[in-house]
Amino acid sequence: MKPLNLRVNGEPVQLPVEDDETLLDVLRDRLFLTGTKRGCGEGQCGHCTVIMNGKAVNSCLTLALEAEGSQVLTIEGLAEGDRLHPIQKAYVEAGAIQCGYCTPGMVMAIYSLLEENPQPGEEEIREGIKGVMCRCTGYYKIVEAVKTASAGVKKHG
Amino acid sequence: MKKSPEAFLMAGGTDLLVRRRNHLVKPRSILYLKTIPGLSEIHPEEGGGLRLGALATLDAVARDPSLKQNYPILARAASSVASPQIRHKATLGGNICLNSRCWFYNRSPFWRSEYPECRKASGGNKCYVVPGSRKGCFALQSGDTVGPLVALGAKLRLVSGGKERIMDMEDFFLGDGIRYLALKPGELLTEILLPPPGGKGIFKKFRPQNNLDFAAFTLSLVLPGKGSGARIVVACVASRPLRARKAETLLDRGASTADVVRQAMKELPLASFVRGSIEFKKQALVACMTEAMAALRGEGPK
Repeated sequence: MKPLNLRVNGEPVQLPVEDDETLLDVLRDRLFLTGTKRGCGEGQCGHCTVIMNGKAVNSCLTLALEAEGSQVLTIEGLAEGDRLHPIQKAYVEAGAIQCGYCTPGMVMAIYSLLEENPQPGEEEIREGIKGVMCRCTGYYKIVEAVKTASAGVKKHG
Repeated sequence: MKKSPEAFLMAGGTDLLVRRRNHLVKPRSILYLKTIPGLSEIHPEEGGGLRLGALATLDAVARDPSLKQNYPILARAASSVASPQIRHKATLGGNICLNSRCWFYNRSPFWRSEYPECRKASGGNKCYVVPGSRKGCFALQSGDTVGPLVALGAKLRLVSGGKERIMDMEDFFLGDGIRYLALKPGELLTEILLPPPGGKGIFKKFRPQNNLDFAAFTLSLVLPGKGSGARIVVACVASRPLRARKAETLLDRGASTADVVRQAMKELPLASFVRGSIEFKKQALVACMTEAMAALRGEGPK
């Protein structure tokens, strides 16, 4: 066991972790932040996407110890109390949630996309969400949600 | 590295951690490279070249303005790798040193248990890339940035202890699926050196679907501004990137596009039917190469 220090959703967290634990293991099994989903475990489905130091990463392909000293943002950290984040709002409005399993990873991937490019075009949106697989294959509604959200993020910003 | 020679080196970890999960490697210790300072920057070199730290992420390589401007085929190759999530972590050095892959080996133990093991997985005597082969492993070099780097004439800085050597990108791949890199034990790839830019290039990554998958092949074509030195590199179809040298000479002499493509197809030893049969890949490669060369030479589509 080694000590790990990081900030998760703005809160400082300190806990001992095993060398071979992933960031996903720590988030779900230790901090009980189960909004982040475990899918394939090999970086293909993207359901475990979180933001680490401002960039979307697959938390299943990140060793917990890699996150030492970093800022991690998960789906639980997006809304402020009852106020949904513009991406979450747009998701609800567009009916983009569908079965919901890919939603947390997808929303975090969109968060990262809009941070890098607040006004993405259709093609950029599709490239930005390429790392998350939606088994409902309802990508059309998701792309619609990103378009609404990008307008909303602009208004907020 | 001296203290624990059995340690696995890890930069982005996007390949190593998957192999670990598939029980292909069982690292007792992992040496995490990303905390090494100064190896993730992209510096201009005196004389016009560029020096890239091996730990620069593929995302950084894809977005770097000087790379996009002067070496667009490399920036495009980096941006074509997998997903944004992977590119945020994976590094250029890691993409070059990426373990050779094949459709059998890089699977879960459960999936593999249905078939006799291959030569790369311990104890097996099969090869699923070249089934007729009697010995050897033909797992594929799979990094997307490798083809463009060979086409650009990149060199690699390899450091071991206090010593270093510079190696041509082409010589870095040994052409064997198991012992596939010229890295010596204890040696580390630290920097990638690009010569001054010149001429035009095209990069094409061909995959059956526009998904996260590895390439069926990549084609990198570079035409120098003037004189000779054209390069035609086809990668991800063998254990090393392939150059069509005779076709390059024809291209330098100004032969017709059709003649160059015919010569290239004659000399390129495509052996793998991973992600498409050899016949399919040949046809796709002819189409890609003809289109790319026509675009580079300013010829209209025929």
